Amino acid sequence: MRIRMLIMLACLAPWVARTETTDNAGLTQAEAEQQFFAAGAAYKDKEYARAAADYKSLLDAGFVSVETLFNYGNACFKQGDVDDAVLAYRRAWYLAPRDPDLAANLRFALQTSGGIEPERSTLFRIFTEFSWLEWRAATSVALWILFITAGLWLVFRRVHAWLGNVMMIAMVLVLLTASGWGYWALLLRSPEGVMTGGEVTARFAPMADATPAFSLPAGSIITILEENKDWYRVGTGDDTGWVPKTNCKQVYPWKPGAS
Amino acid sequence: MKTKQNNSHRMSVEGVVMTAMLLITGAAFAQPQATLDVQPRVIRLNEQATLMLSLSGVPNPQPPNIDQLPNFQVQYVGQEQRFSMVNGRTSQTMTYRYRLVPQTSGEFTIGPFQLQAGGTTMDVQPVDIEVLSVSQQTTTRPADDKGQTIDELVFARISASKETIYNQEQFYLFIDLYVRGVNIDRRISLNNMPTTGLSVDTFQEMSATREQVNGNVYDVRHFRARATALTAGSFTFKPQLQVQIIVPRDQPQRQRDNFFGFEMFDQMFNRYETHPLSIEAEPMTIAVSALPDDGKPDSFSGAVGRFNLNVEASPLELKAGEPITITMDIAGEGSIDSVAKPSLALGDDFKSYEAKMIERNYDASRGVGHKVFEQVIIPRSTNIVEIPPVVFSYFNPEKEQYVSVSRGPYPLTVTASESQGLKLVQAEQDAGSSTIRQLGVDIVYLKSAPDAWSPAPTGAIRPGPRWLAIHTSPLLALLALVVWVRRREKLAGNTALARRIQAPRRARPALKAARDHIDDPAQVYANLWRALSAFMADRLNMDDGEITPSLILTTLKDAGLPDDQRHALENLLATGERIRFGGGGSPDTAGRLQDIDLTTQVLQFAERKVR
Repeated sequence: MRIRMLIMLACLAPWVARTETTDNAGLTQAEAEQQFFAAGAAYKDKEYARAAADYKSLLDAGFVSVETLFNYGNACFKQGDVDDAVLAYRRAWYLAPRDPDLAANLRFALQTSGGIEPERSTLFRIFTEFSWLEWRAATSVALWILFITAGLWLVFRRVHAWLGNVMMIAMVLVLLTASGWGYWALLLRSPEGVMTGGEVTARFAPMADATPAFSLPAGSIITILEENKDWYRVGTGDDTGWVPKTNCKQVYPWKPGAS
Repeated sequence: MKTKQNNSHRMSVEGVVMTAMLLITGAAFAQPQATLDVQPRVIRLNEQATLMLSLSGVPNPQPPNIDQLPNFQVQYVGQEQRFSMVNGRTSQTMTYRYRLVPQTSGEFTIGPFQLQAGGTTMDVQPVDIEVLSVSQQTTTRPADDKGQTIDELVFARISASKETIYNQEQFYLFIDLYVRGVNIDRRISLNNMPTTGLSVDTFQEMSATREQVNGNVYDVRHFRARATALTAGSFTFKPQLQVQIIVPRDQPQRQRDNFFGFEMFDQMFNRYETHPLSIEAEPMTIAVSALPDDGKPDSFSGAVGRFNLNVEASPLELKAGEPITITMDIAGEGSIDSVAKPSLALGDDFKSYEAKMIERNYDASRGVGHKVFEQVIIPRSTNIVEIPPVVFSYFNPEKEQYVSVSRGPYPLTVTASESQGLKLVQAEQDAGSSTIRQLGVDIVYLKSAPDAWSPAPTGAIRPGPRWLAIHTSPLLALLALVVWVRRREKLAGNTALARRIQAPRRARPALKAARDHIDDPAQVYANLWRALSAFMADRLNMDDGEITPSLILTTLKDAGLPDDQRHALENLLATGERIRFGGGGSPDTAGRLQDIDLTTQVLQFAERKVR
């Protein structure tokens, strides 16, 4: 019986240990680091197009990090591609929402492009104070504390009654942290998008000759509400309209190399 | 539709000239204008109508002298004054009201008039009014109408303010509800209006008049709504009006008259009830034309209506690199949603930022509004002398042509910038303290390489299989712990059960010892007895000393042990006792092994059957 369980665990181990992150196809870590420095050097030489291309190839290879996204956004901004800069900054924001440099550059890029940002609730500001990765890690820790204290409480509850209080606190912690994580997951039911390719006209219907509803400056951050073939129905505040998919890039989730 | 009576006569009061010395002052007022209206236009001989003469663009006018109109008694009632401001222009309208009491029946035309106001002469368009005789009045009473249908008593008509409508143009829809001989309450709902291609505001009740249709006099309620064409095409209106008809409640006739003889109390005590009635208006089709391509300026961005453009640029004297804010205010009548930012061709002389809409106002009742855009531009050199003109184009549906409004150019004085980069500036006004002056704004510089190159996730925000596996296993362990703890607690509180469960565990070592000492018959049978007695003592929750061979045999017999096995066990127990106490003959090794197997089988049977 024990041997059978050990065999099962041995079979599961590689699957459990498998990484959930993207593959770094084509580049080793040393090469990635080298390319990162090369892109930084190009940026210093004001060769922003080359810097942007280097950073983008890093991202496309799966080396997604706050630093790479931030620097790619800077390179895009400097070469006048403000909408892609906004997109990169916003993607980085999902990983590091409290980064002050990121917030400053995103705000500056939005002011420059005239782009709009949807108004957010207090709940949004509270839960997005931490990234979803941080909420996930906190949920893991809280769960393990709960498991351990629950086990201890089961065995020693007659001797150490205070273990019950610790278990309740752990349970509250699990609920709180899982709520933060769940809030991020709920946000993605209507994911954010960034308008690209100049000022875009949102229309009343997903047709090129439909009546114009309102215009969205490049770099505007909108909410994607619906999808219809080559069109997104987007919302900003009280206004909704249809825009071509080619003019709207989804912020998160995204596939490196695809956009 | 309108039937003229043979005995009616047309009395024209053309040529009547009313002279009113009106002072016209103030250049800010609109051009003087006079309009005449009479309501209702159809009255009976013993009724009266109201004549309204409105003067707009005439400051502080005096009441016109209308004391004599043929076939009518005229009495001045009063006046009302109204101010309005559209596109920064103030207009004043003074309306004078007169009571008209007809002296004879017939069809009459009041006007046209000419009003003299200061040096200006205003033409007043004529108005027709029909006065019905008393006999005509009685023949149209509903009580005399035989074989009528409800469609003749209540019907509706729909019309539009314009025949030719362009895409994005605003226009009015009118619905007139004709009612004769029945009472309807104020609740009216409208259904079956087009839901696509047109945007129709809520219908507002404007006024009530009286009209003659097919020889019958109807009370007419007028409704109006502002509509906007959203796409070109043909649209058919066939609205349904849901009205409530007030009828007496169907109940047994009371022996007494109305309460105090007042109908009001009948209403109060619910002697009336309402019945819904759906009225279908005659269909009306309107065609919405696409905007013409001819003459469409490059700066046209879809605005339809009549608009004005005001532009402010500030500052106009500055240093190179400093920003200029251009504020563009577009105000007017029309679809304000179709208004986009004006065109500003800056070229390479300026660094420009995207224009932002900072204000939007729209008065739906009047169909006027304005949008304000703000754009920041920065002159790149000191050679620039002006800001290029700001151009806004729109399509005027009244004139059916495109109109471009241009403001500027704005002269500009750009001097060289003193600062050559970021520097710390000592405050001049306060010798005791220093301050830092902001010299420029830019993005934050690059970040250094990440500490670890493990890629950040970009996929969906939900638990992955790895995470689930890591957090499900301790949960399962916890559940197993729960089961174990519960079992342990159960056994702790039930000694009999605990002994029953541990019985095989106590018997097993004795059986093993018997096998280990197979060459020693005394050891073998002593261990077999220990296995059997310990098992049965635990199973029956008795002391070991209370167990006897006969008790074992009786218990197993009761449990259903087959006779052959029971007899074999009896022999085994007798042999064991003989060897242990008497030292008699012992079976050979094979026989001892057979006895060990027999004991094992009996214990397995007892584990299943002995409760």
